[in-house]
Amino acid sequence: VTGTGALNTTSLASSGSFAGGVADLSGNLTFTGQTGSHTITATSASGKTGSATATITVGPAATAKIVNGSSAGATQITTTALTADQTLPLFAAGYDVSGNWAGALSGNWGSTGTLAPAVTNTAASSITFAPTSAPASGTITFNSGGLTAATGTVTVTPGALHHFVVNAPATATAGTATSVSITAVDADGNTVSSYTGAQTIVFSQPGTDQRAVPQPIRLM
Amino acid sequence: VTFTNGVANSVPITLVKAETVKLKATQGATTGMSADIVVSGAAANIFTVNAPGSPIAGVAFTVQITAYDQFGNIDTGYGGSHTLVFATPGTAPDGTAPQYPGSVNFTAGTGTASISLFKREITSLKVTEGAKTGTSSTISVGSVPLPLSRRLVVTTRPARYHSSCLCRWSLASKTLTKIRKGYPTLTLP
Repeated sequence: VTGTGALNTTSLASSGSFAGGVADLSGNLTFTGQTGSHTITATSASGKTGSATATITVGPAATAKIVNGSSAGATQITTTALTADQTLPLFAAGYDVSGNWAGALSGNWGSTGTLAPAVTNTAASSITFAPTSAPASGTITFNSGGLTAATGTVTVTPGALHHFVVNAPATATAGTATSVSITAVDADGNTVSSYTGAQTIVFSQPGTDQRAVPQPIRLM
Repeated sequence: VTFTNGVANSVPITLVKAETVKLKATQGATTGMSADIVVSGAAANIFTVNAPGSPIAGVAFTVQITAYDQFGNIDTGYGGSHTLVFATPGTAPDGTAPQYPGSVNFTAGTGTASISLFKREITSLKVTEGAKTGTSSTISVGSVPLPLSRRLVVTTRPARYHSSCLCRWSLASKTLTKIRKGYPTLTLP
């Protein structure tokens, strides 16, 4: 007996398996393929055949996964690298024992490791992780009625250079050298560690030399 | 500026204007601004002397003296009493010397001095304290035109010698001296 899809084929003995001309295959055929309509064909040694159509439906969700979309074609989120400028949409989905997509799941989300902001969201079937801290890493977890799932390791690196943080002393004396520090940061204030080497920085705002002392107003 | 892993430490800067200011760092469209920096002036090394342009001989006038640092900032820390040396104006023909204060009191870099000059001249006022100096603009010391009631009219004979002249009248000796060489001294009864 063969069939389309992921039907496990089986062979029947000429005797013993039949009783009164009927072989009951209950319990002997297991379908683990995709849902839908499938044809099961029995072929005898002499070439006689007989077919039947079976409609396979999805079983109840047996496992949960965190995937990248809300439809059956979504793929599981494994090891992922993103910058602090990016976001990561996450969807929870249930799968039956055969791995068929059983629909979205709603449940509690969480996170592990140093990912920030920490994920805390209840009764949601999807979230969008928008990291603000880098470097950071960890996983994002999901729990719904005993079904749990987790992403692979999510690694967050700093985003693109957004602005400088200038640290200067609160006081200074004209003509006396002092020093400042400048840090290149992304939009979230994370140090852009890739910003390295000699850079041309233009300093401005402070006033200029006042040596052209204004002449006193004449008291005529 | 050299960055290492996104950070540039100990970037040397020298500010020269006394003010409260934020330091802005720019590279293309990327900018950054520091918090306020309060920049104070350096120690004074020069004076500005603000004197009236046309004082009257014998009439006291006020001079404003301001201490500046080398960058032109008022040295607001320059205060208290200072002994200054005044110079340049001359002594009047009758020997009366200029009168200067023994010391000048400064507040936040500025002080005033009351001065009397007696010689009619075009001069300037130089103020010195150690290495710090300052000189005023030109001062034209003049005299006040006397009212008619206080004018002495001298008439000579014959009339062809009648002329106006610049004279000095001495109350002590009651003599009129024409300040031009070759003219005699006239003594009145």
